[in-house]
Amino acid sequence: MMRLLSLFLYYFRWQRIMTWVSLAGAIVMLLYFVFPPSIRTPALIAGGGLALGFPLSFAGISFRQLISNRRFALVPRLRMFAAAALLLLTLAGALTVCAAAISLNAYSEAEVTLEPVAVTLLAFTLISAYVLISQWLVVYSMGLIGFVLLPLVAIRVSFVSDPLFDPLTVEPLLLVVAVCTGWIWLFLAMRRPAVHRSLAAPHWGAALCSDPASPQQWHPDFGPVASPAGALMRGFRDGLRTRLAGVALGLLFFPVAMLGVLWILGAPLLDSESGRFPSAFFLLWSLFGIAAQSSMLFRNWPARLRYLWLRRAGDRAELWRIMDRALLNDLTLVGVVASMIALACMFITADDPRYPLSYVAGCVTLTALSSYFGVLSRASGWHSIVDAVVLIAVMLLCLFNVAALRSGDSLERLYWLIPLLAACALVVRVLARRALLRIDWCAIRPMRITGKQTN
Amino acid sequence: MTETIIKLDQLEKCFDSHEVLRSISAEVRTGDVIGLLGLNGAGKTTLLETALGFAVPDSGSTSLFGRPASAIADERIKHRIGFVPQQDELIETMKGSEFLGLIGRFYSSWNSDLIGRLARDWDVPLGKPAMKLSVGQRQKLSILAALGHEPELIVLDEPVASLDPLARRIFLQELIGMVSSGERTIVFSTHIVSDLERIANRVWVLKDGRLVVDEALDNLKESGVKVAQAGGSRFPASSGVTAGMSLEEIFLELHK
Repeated sequence: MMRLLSLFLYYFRWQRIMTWVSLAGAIVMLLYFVFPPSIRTPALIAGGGLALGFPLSFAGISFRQLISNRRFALVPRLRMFAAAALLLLTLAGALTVCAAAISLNAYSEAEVTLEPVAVTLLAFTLISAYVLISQWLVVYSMGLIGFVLLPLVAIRVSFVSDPLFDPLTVEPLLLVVAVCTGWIWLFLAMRRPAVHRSLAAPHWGAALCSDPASPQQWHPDFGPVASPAGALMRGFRDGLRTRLAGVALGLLFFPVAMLGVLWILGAPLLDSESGRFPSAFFLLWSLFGIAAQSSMLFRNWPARLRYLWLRRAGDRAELWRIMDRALLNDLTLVGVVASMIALACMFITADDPRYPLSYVAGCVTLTALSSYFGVLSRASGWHSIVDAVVLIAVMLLCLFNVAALRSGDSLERLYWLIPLLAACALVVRVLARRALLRIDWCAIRPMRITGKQTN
Repeated sequence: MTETIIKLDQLEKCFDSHEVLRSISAEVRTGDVIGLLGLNGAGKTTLLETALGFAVPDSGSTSLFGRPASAIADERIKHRIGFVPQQDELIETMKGSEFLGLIGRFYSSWNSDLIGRLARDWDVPLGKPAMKLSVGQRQKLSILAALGHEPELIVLDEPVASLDPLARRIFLQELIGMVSSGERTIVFSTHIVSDLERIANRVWVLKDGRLVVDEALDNLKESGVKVAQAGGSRFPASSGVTAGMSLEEIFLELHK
């Protein structure tokens, strides 16, 4: 069993580090009662997030990579073993949630007790739904999605009718049949020969531009592009539309996804006291989303600048200026789009205007910090452990913030973070510039996402 | 009149504690066609890329058209260079035609007719996105991107490694056509010795980070090899030990 699980959790070095972090999170989650009462809830949420978030959020993707890898194609029954490992991981996640529920029942002073079997079944269904849905590209089976969406709808219906939710009394048969069918479907798909296909478009932005060149025809013009340098640096068509779409996606994807999760879980989407849209929750996840996206997106820029070295005038300092200008343009777009979102939230909820203003300032400063940190990390050739540590820190910060907000604290105590983030961004920018001026493109090469690779 | 295009002076380069290039001194002059040989990991890519300024030497110096390579800023100098890297620089979602159009926008002297002709001759599917191309097709596209502005100095890092024999032949013929005027300079690394023998007029052999052979091809075959290896000569030119040997035999002998 451990060898199977190691396929997902112990294969790469960064996975090993994150696995230990997840185990630490699980311990914090299960022993939350040893903490002082004031930080029990944040500890429970942060520990749970670390324990389940890392292994389960990457499980579906790791599984896809594993079974698509040509190196493993000849390993006997690897696809079946990998599917079994995925199932084991899902079960382990559900059992961890079960243990947390038992711990909560034993030590929580809340009047409501959780039914461990029901909670385990719920967790298993949700995790199964997530990991199975992420497989459709590999198994070519839209029917699979149907089977896993069904229990989600059932859970939603159950929650709405009974917020305490006891699936064993509501729709147990439907849940079990649907989830089991999904898993059987996956195992049957694993018996078929491996399907190798090109990855989907490496960047969402590529599909958003019209294509001026007709097939099989030499076309000297490139078409709508803001700058050829920008296209080489970003690795996709560079234009205002793609940049805007990217920023909007970064700002909206996470909060909309989280609202979707709340909807599935039957949680009230409107604030229970005021009956208004939960703007603080929405804006906080938006902030987290754009920061995470920026860090990943800009991380490759220093290495990709080598493509401009023999094409654009100027030394490394000039290339830094090109990159910095593009980054500042993107930050401006973040500010504009975030302002529009903040205004919309303000009109809908009639919140204190300080909240949306803080959100816009937070978006710009946090995006600046994460972008420049990505540039610094890559230009300095830092080990991926650094990125893993930063990822953990960001996850913890976010989870603590969410927990703090859920426990009724005001956003105001986070205001002081904004000038601090801005100061950090400025310092990191100076360090990033210094690193880029002595970048060695022999050692730091662009990460590549490639499709078919045959001779 | 011949101009010194690349000058390497006591060049040294390390990655972490590993010394990749050791005290390399050499020159490339106008009209030279230099073939660079070496085992895997010998430092060929590092040598070529350091010579072009992609990396700063740990000691020694590299100059390109008379300027320090890693600090070169003049666009006119940069546009005299065409570079085909080992790892292509294509944008995955762009069609070949779009990518070439994009690269063409960097240069004022982009020769669309030349690129169109080469694309037809080499059977490059310009209508497909790069992610759908085979490794060989990607390599051809990379070469086209490096030749479109008709550079004076062409540096190719294992350009034919993934090409089929027919494509290789056509590519070499094109290179021969380019160098026949004597105004173009080519430096290329390869593992295919026969290709090198067809077009190179000078051979560099890199071994353990040292340039152990820097010799005109004709001299090398006729008189033997003068090995600039620390600890004495392996085959002094005067001894003529390698005289009459093929280049491949000389290379194998050097690496015994």
